[in-house]
Amino acid sequence: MNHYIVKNLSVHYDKYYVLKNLNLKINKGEFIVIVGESGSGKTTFLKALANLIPYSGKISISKNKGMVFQQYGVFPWLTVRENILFGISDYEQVKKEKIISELLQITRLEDKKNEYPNNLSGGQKQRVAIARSIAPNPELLLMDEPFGSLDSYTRSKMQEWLLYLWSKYKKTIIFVTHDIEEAIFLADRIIILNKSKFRKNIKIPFSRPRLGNIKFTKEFNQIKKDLSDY
Amino acid sequence: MSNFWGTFQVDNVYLWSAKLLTKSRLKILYKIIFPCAIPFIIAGIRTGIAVAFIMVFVSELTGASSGLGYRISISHLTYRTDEMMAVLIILGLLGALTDKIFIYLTNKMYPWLKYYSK
Repeated sequence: MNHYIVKNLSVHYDKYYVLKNLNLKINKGEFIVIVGESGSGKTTFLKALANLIPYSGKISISKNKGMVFQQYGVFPWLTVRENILFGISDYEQVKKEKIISELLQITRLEDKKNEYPNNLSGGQKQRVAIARSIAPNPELLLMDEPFGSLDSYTRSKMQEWLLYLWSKYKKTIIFVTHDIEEAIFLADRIIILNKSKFRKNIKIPFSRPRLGNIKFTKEFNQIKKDLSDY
Repeated sequence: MSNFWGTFQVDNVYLWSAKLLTKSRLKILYKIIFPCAIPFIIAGIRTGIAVAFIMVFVSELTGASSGLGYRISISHLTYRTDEMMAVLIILGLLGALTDKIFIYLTNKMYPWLKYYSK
């Protein structure tokens, strides 16, 4: 199967529907970005996909999935190395060491491996969280506004780093944000979620690899304008 | 009580992250829930140490024939204010020292506590 299916997905709290009959087909290896206003149900959608909350409907996605949260979900009582090891602690020692050294190198945190997360910057913490979630080699990565609390410079660096990571590991990513620029820069496809429903599905025409300078092109700004109307 | 409430203070993001990374409930218990409760356990023990000092002092005031509480009581009865003040200062210093030693040991055992903020 080359895709994941979400069929008639609904989530409700008492009588209030946060998500109502959502349908989505996700191609494997695709980078999907979901945008929407605060309270539109973006995070709830990811939590349902991650099986963290009760829902009705059918979700046919890989059981092997990782999730990165907006708040730094890194465990403050574990070092950078121990955090990344958390999901792979029962692997063979050689395999574990290989994964950890590769991820420390990719996250550029080799010199911080024995530090506790509270000694790291916001961007570094989020790199640890991303490394930890990809360590067990998930097929699907769910990202809930992971760069939402970063300053704009770090955020833009992290976006480029994430695209590099995505091209290297070929994961399917579902990324939630309310930042339209971020969505256009990262996505293969943008889905607008509003008032409990998917309202629009937009393919992003930019080729890859993408660099930050595409944000200044006319085409980029046109897509941004079109999306802002929703 | 601190310990009891501490186990209910686990941030959902930590629990969700852990659940996605491991199926082992035992691992979640000792790697996530227990460390989250540690600051509360430590706060409980520190309060316990302070209360224990007060209780020892009070009990020595009433029935003991030696100890700091007893010395304070005797000094009070014999109008030795200087001795009473000295013993009170020693008592305070002992309390502070015990607390410092406890904090030093917990920081050695759990170095992350120094940087931990909720």
